[in-house]
Amino acid sequence: MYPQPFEYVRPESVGHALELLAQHGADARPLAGGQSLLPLMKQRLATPRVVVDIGRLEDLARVEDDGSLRIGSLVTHAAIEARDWPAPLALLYDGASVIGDVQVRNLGTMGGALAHADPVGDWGPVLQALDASVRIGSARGEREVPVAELFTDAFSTVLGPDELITAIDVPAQDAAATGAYVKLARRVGDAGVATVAVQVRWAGDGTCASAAVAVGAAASVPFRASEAEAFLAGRTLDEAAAGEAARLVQAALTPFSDVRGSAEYRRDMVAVALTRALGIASRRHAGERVEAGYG
Amino acid sequence: MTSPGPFAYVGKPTPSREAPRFVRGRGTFVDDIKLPGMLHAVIGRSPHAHARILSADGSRAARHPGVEAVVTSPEHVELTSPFRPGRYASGLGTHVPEYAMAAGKVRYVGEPVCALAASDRATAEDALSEIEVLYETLEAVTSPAQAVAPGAPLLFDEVGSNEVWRNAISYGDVEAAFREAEVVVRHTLSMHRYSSTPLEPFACVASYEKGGGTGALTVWCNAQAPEVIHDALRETLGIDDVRVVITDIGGSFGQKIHLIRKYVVITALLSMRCGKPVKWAEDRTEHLMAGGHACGQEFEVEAAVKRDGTVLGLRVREVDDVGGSLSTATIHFTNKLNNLFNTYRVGAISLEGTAVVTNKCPVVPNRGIGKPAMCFVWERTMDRIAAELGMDRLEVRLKNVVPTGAFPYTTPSGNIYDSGDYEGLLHTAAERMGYDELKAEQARARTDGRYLGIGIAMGIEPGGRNLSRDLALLPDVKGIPGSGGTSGATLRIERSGSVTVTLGVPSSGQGHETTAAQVVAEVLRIPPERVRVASTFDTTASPWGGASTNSGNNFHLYEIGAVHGAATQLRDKLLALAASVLGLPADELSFESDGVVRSKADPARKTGLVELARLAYNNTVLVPDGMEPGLQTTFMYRFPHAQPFAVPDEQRRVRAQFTFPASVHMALVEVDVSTGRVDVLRYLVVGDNGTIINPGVVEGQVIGSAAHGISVALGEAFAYGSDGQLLTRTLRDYGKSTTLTTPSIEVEHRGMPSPFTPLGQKAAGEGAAIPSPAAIASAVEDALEPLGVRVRDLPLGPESVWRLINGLPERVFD
Repeated sequence: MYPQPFEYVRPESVGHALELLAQHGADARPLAGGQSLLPLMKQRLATPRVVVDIGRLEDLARVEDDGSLRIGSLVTHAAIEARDWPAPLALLYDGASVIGDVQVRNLGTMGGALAHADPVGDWGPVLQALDASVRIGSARGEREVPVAELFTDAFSTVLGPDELITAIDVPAQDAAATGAYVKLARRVGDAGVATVAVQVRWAGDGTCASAAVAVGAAASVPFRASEAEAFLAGRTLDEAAAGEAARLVQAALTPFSDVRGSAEYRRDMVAVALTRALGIASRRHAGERVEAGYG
Repeated sequence: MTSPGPFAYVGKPTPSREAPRFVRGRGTFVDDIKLPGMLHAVIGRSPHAHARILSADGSRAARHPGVEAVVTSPEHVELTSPFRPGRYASGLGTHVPEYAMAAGKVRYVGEPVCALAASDRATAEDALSEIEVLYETLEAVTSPAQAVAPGAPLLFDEVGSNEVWRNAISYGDVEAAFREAEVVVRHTLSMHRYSSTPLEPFACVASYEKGGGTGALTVWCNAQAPEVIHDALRETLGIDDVRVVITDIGGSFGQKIHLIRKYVVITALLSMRCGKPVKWAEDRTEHLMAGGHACGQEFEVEAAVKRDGTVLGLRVREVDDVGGSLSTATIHFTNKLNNLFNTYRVGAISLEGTAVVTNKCPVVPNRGIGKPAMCFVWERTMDRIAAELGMDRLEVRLKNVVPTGAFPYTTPSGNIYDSGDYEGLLHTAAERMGYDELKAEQARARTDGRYLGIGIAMGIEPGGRNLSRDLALLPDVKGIPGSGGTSGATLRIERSGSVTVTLGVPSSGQGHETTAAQVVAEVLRIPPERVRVASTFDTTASPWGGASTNSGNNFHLYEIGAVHGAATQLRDKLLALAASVLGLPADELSFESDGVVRSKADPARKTGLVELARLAYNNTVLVPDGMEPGLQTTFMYRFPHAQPFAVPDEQRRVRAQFTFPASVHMALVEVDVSTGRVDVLRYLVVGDNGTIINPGVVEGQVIGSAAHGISVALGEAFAYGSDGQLLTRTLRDYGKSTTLTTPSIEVEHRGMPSPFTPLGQKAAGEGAAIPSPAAIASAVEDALEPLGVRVRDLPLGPESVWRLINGLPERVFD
């Protein structure tokens, strides 16, 4: 399968890339790791006239860590998976380790995955739970958008045709926070049927001071479950609390159906994923090393 | 009959002949073939499940720069003849001509409707959208129930019904069995649509040259049954001078017997239209849509049982969802004669069934053709009997298997099980698995809220097909099925003393070269390294027959028989030549290792392979009178023990196949009852493949086919929407297991040589794909026994298991 004919441009710099995007507008698509765009082009579901290959712009491939974290949009999933994250950022490892397969992780990038806005994407819920935002560049200037506001619908974002995600900013996390991202899927390597990322800030008495709960793979866009978050604040994270939080998440959810899972299955799996994610976050708080993985 | 051996080379682990070239990227697959001036084809396919073709216009595409040939469905029907109805359509009442492209109507998404060839693949893809096909869409039927409902749209108006075939066969006194039954066990079961998804989809290069008469056509393709291609090209294109060349094949599994012929015909027609070579290589989505599926099969089963667990008889009603073609409509039903009684000594069975056409992909063989389903019927029924009688599942099987002393055993349907020790297989499997300990562990785990399950299934792998089988079901059909089967091997001892072998079938990666070399080495007493086996099949050079499809199931009877026969002829000739050279009678000579022939009485008198070979070719004056010079022979093998029941008798008893390996599978699974996910913790196969020629080759076949069967059970499945659109168009959506979810498969050989074959060999190919779906079903049901779950249907993906646990109906796609 071959894409429709297209023009290929490899910009010299981020500035050059933004100029090209401004020049070609909706006719152009930026190419990063190519793990989503190229299959779409081969199936002729995406038919850009110009492909702007930003894949070798080293300025976008760096991780800066000075308390808060700036992840260049071209940092690969594999690079994130391989990094030694402190406990409060274990969510980043959890998310990276369950994306596709090794080949996809070696080439796919965090910025590319976010811009693709697949409802089953893994970075959406993970980064929402960490209160991250994306830096968006264009020839017109730069803006910052919380990941929680990035997605407008399945495969749709607030990005204009001339805009590019240049970095992902993850704010400094509470030193004692722990989290977990649980992905329930038909099998290893498949897209999720329900995914939940939680990040818990713990009070001195071991109760939950506050919790971020982000849900993916169940609705058209990943979302923060604010009712469940409000409920969990100040509570002991036992089975009953998890159960009630799960009920609140389910109440806020209109799941979709696809060949991987029906809406009713997804609704039930969101509850399972949340319960398990809270359990893993608690165990990590207790100092256990736990793989979250596929739950 | 005495048991064969001891062997010098057979049964020894020797390095694979093929693996180095595949691992180093030196295989030659169809897509590696590049001819001067070669064009690249693409196929236009129906986007609709059911529609009338109103018109097709390729004129704009034909003007696209780089395009050199276009064919649309109406032109195709004009230019070609339909395929001759094959054995799997021969029992149908009405004959509907089938062409390589849809004729007048499309009946499944992906059915070919047009094609073109251009200077390169990208140009071809660009131009394809310029072929305009107009359709009148029709309502699609996507299940047998829907297809036979009153007022359902008909796929084939000529046939007058979507139920295109009905048949029934019975052996023994089924009524008496049910009269005598103390308990009748009833349930409904089903198997779903899946595929073997070979790594390499279909591919073909066709090169037509004008010439005398009808011209000459050469095709290179990855078909596993050359005769199907050879026949198809001559029948549809009217060309007599046809050459079919088959190089390396990236997996076939039955997928590459039937539907591939359509694409070879289309590619050849494009080459005829432009007079240039044309290549076509299918992509994965095309293959999943239109490359052929295993049949969806639904069963109603009743077993007549005594309270002690003895099964007196079985009644099976079957409905086959055969998709949008008639040409393989009966295949999944007829093949059930092969393992109709599985491993059991049961006196009576009746099988009746219907084939129903639906707007889905046509059905084709897939690692067992209906045999995994027949095994599923038996094994799920054995588990059910055990549950209803409160017996252990092993015990019920031990009660009913053909006893070890009863071989060769003739089943009521006329199959003759050559050898076996089913009790031994069951005991060995239980012991190696630690069955009793696992049951204790399971009980402990349940108190911790963990759901472990132990699965058991056993099955046979019938090997070596008999063309007369279908006459048992179609007694009125004359001519088409034939009887028996054959394949050939050509052997040449070179003047260097090395040996060249040409087989009568292509190879799909099953190690045929390695295995054949070992057999030649055994007979001629030379190291296997001195034997070269041709890796290319060519109808102008290979000693091909008509019955073998290169599967491990047929290969081990027909091709190994042929190789053994040819090598034996040459060994006898070497002895005769040596007798002449040494001036001694042949029976005073011994044939020793490394091709040395020596006088038994006077060991100093000897000659050798090289000396004899030179003489045979270069010193013909010394070749005895009446003996042909040279050391070359072609041997066509016929199974010598085909009687009785080589053709059906008046009670319709027939040898469906000729060798009967068997295996017991045991699985240990854990079910996550919150998500429905099944993890396979252990998987064991204890098998009897008779004399094993190459342990690595057989082990690879067992592991590969077990892994496939486990994946079939755990979730790989084709799903269609109610409009007949295929929802699973990528391997990921389709849900194939990966190495990460495939358990390590333990294999133990417990071979019982066949008394009917030259080396005691039996089939070794698809065997482990036959019981494995049932073994997983058994394990999952066992795990969920405290929840009252019964497993009747596959696949057991997480949502399906979650639905079983929660008492929800099976999922239906919109």
